[in-house]
Amino acid sequence: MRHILANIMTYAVAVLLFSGAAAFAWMRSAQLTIAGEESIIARYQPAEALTFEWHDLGRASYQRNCMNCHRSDGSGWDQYPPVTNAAEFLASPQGRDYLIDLHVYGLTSSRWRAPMPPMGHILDVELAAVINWIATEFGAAADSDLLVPADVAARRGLGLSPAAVETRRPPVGPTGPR
Amino acid sequence: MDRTIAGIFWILLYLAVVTVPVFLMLVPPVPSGRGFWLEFSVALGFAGLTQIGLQFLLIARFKRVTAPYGIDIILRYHRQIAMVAVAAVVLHPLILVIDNPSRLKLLNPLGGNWASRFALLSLLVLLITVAASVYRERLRLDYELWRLTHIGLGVAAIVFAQLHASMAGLYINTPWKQAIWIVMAAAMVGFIMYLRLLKPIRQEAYSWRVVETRDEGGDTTTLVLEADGHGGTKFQPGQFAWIKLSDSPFTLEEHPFSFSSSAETTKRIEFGIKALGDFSAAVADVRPGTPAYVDGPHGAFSMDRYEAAGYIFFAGGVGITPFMSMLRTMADRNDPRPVLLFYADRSLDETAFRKDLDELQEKVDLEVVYVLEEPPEDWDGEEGFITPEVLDRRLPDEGFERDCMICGPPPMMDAVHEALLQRGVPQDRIQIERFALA
Repeated sequence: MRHILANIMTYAVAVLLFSGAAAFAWMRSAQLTIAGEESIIARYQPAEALTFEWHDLGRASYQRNCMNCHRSDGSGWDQYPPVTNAAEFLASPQGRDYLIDLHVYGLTSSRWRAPMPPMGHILDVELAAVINWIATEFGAAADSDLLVPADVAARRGLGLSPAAVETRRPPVGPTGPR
Repeated sequence: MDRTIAGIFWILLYLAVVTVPVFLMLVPPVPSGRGFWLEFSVALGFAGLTQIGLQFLLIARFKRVTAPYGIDIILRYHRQIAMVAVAAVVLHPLILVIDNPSRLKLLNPLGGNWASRFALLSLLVLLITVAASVYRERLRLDYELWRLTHIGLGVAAIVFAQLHASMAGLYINTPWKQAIWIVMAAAMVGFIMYLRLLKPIRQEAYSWRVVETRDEGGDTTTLVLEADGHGGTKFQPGQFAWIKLSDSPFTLEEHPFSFSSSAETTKRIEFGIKALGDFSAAVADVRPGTPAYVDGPHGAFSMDRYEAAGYIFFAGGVGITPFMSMLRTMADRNDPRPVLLFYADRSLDETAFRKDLDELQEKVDLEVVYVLEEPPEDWDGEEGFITPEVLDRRLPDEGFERDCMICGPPPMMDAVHEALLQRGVPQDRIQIERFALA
């Protein structure tokens, strides 16, 4: 009798673990993002394109999504690159596209052994905000170079692979992006 | 009833501990949600890590936690749920790579980062641990060597897994979350320290001494221990204990044996041990005066747990030992309830405790039915195995107010269990001792 109950318990816990993991993933992938989308759009949509309030959103997003690998000062560690040169990329059109693409589609390269995971699930506003925040917090990006959500939206739907993003990287100059 | 309440309490606490990590993952700052498969994979990783940590709790032999279920159940659950945990851990990287093949490079120890390297190490160690456990007998691994490596590999697996989660985990994104996870992992490893370091220290003050070994026939020896200046141990007839026969309680050489003496005597205890392996074969030659350490009582296979108007015992070979304890206890208690004992073994010579059973029949309302595979020529008792036909001939015709208790080799237990169910014995009237503790 004990053994039969124990077997039922084992199956129950196994089902609980796997269905719990699935429920967690469903909630995190669909529910929270949708809820976040509405609240974020409600907050930022009425704002003028160039004056959208990216600073607080960018900082919060950096802490949530980037800091673990790129560190709180953007210096990176081990096989995760520093992000202190984002302002230099923002200064050229090709660099801007590359910077947005590597967030939307991810990036694999031989320069850094850890791949950049695709972050395309993040909304345009939040991606623009976090790139702006990085470029001003860890670099000195000019105000005119900063991104607006429409810049990110324009790079969506290209279907690039992480390796293809690497081939579109702008050439490296002595003062240009590394 | 108390046992039921305690049993439910510990299960609820266990489920709470299982789900704590999920709540911890949802405490802000929470990373942005990602695709379903990525999040599913991460959730499986955390579920696997938590389960592997809890394995240390399951094997720590906390009497209060294990008593409601019987520790044999807990240890079997440990083996089963560990497989579930390893499945979750294996799926974790598999889904990650299928979700985005560019992550394949993380599986290359030279191509990844430290987070992925620790993950690979942990996975490798886990798979070795499982293989060594499942195929221990086929690989002919020495039991003590296996136990030592099992502990070492288990600790390594959780340390590597925690390092991986701490370095890679987007969900472990603040110092205080980091601290909680590391403290939890360390606490789990602490349970094994409790079992292998703290418990032996306590055992040192409660040592026993071998006073005698008795040959009971059939390669079976009774090991008699006497308490060394303490009150002994209270147990229920049918329970068992882990025994160490060594100068030091810190030895890993430790084996479980059923008490065979009366539960009414606590300072002088006996164990029936059949020579089946190196340790059990050496018991016959143990010198009186040898120090012994006893971790027990454990187990739930006892008549005291299942009150009934009478009992039917089914013993196969050395499975007789818990019943010896029950019958001797009944004799000491002047218990008038009737007992029918089916005792199956190869031949009459290999049947241990025959003399004692004859004597017990004078003190207890006991009827013994020997079932012999190779009976002597003049044998007029039952032959072969405990088959349905034997049961039909011998079972009392009384509508099963009695409790049936079975202890023996697994095929014998399964056959008897099946036959009893077919004869209308309710499931909760059948108790089985699955003594696979290794």
